[in-house]
Amino acid sequence: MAFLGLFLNAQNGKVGIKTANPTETLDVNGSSYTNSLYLRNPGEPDKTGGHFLATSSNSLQLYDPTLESSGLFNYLKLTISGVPAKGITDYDTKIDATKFLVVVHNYSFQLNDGSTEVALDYGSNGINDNKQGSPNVNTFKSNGTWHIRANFTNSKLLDYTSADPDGVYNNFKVDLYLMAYKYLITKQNINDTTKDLGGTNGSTQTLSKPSGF
Amino acid sequence: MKKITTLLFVTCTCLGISAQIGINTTNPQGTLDVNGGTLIESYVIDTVNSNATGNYYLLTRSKDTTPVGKVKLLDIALRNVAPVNTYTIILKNVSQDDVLNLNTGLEKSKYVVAITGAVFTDATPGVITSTSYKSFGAYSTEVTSIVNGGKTYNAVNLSFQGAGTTSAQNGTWSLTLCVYEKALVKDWGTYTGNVNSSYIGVSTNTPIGLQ
Repeated sequence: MAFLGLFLNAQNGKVGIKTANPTETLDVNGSSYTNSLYLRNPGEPDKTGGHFLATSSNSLQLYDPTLESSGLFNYLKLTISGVPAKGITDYDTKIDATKFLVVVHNYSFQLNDGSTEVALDYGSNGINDNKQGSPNVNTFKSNGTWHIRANFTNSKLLDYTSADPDGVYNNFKVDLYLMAYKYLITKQNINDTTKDLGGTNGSTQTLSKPSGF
Repeated sequence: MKKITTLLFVTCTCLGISAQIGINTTNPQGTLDVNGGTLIESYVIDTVNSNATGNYYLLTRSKDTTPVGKVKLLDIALRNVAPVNTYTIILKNVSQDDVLNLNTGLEKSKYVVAITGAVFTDATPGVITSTSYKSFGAYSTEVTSIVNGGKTYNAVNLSFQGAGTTSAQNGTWSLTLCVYEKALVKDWGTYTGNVNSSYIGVSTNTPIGLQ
């Protein structure tokens, strides 16, 4: 039974619009407009492959990171050379802080030739202070971009390729493995949480989680 | 089927001479134009999906609508929690350099937590005094779990393992957490391996899904 391009097939219970051979309960051979769309049973999730769906002009579209200037997840290795013994205080990655959330996954301190014979001199004074500095490798936002800090607190990097490092070497290299998450899936304007542990190790205390979590 | 047929006959009375169907509209904008919601029982087969460009949103299928399954925009500006979240925690007056099982308040059933930066200041880790030779504590940051009121929460351990600080001074840890919504992450839990006093080893229990 056909009705101006509307086909009803009572035998198999299928309706086609502009098609005489509907393959599903409703088969629209053309575009469909609707105010909202509900999927009662959208099928089994993809186990591999598949595309995320996105919309930019009121239609269901495919999200394809290869066509974008950036992906949802962006993984990059950043090697910073010419690093002085004091490490890096502020390196501007120029990654847009309004579009990405950048975190450091891993890092490595090396000599400029890639050798890992790097030691630390607490106090940067060439003597044994019986102290150690804390790793201080992280990202922070400044003037709209992500910056990197990579050093050890109150410490100087030392080249110990000789048994008695003279502390003169000043040409280190830092490898950083970064992940930049696209703003579409991130929230980063969450206030800092500050807590005084009262001289304890905090094992009986609970932090307040960010509002809305 | 009877219901659909009736509905379509009714709508046909609104049809012009074009091969377009409008429901609740006399001016259909496409082959099918539903001025209202569309509920689809099974699959959407879309053979003409183009790629999203420019300013776009990812889509989600909501579990909280009536009926269930409304396709919605993932607009993080309107959500309390995004798939990936980050914030900074400053812990002052820490017992020397040790933080042990401090509850983040974030439930394990909802969030996967990673420490993406942790700096210790305001005190200095010293040498370990209990060893006969000079040794330092290993810098360690770890996400653990703690049960409170029947719920399991993400907790954090931070330390320079057993080193203490110079003059037993209390310090400050500044840590950055990356908090992932559980819907995005498969948490495989804990796996163990052994290198049998050698420097190399091969896993015997890697999940099939990761191989």
